[in-house]
Amino acid sequence: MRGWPAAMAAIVVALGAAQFVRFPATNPPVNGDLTAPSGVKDLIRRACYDCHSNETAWPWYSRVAPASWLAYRHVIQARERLNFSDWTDYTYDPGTEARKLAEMAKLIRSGAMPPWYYRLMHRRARLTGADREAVMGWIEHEQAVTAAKLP
Amino acid sequence: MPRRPFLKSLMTAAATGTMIALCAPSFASGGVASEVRFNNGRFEPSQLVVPANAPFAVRVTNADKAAIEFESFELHRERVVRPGETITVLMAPVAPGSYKFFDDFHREVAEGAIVAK
Repeated sequence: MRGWPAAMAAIVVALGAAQFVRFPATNPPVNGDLTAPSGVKDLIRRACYDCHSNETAWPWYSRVAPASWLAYRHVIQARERLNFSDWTDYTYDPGTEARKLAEMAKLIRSGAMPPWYYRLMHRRARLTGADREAVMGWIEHEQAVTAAKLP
Repeated sequence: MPRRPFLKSLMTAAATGTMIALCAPSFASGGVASEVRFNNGRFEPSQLVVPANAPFAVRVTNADKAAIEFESFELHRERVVRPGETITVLMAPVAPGSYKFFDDFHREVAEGAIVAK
């Protein structure tokens, strides 16, 4: 039992020291934002934009290590995969736009996006069945438009 | 969804597609289309040099037996290439610099780079 106070002290010191390891939780400029009907855009914005755009609303825990490390890593990786702030760049190459739309459709239809752990902490990111249908309707419309652009 | 805007979008897309189709050969003949071939689990060549601040295209041929995903986070491009297929990836003008690309289906494969000069 004598070891507990020492262990607790070590954890507190480690957590304190961790606060000095910081990452730049910043938002780069928006280059070419997604264009979609306002209702659909609002759904995508509240469910996806925190991770998949340069308009991240960094939560309070993103300033406290080690949660901040996880949040930073998650957002950086999510932006690499799909960044709505670079959407017009995707549309320059219709094949890339089609691929992004296909992946969005797969992940939204399956319920894999937004991830469960994110939905758990962010109620506003939760999509109802009707919300998902609205987003899927827009994706299918865009897929038809993009398919016509493909050589 | 109303039908007219949808038809209008389709017609606009068809017109855009025609323009892209007309432009694609000019990339090939105008010297601004670079070629890269994926074979035996590697990109050849692994480095492409393209003009900076000008649109360009990359023709990607998959000579391997499995599908690949030609991807560049920095250039915002992601395309699946089936075995035996050649695709043309259109690139917007970029600033001078080096931009990595890789096969996202096989991340263990060596990366390539597009160098804009």
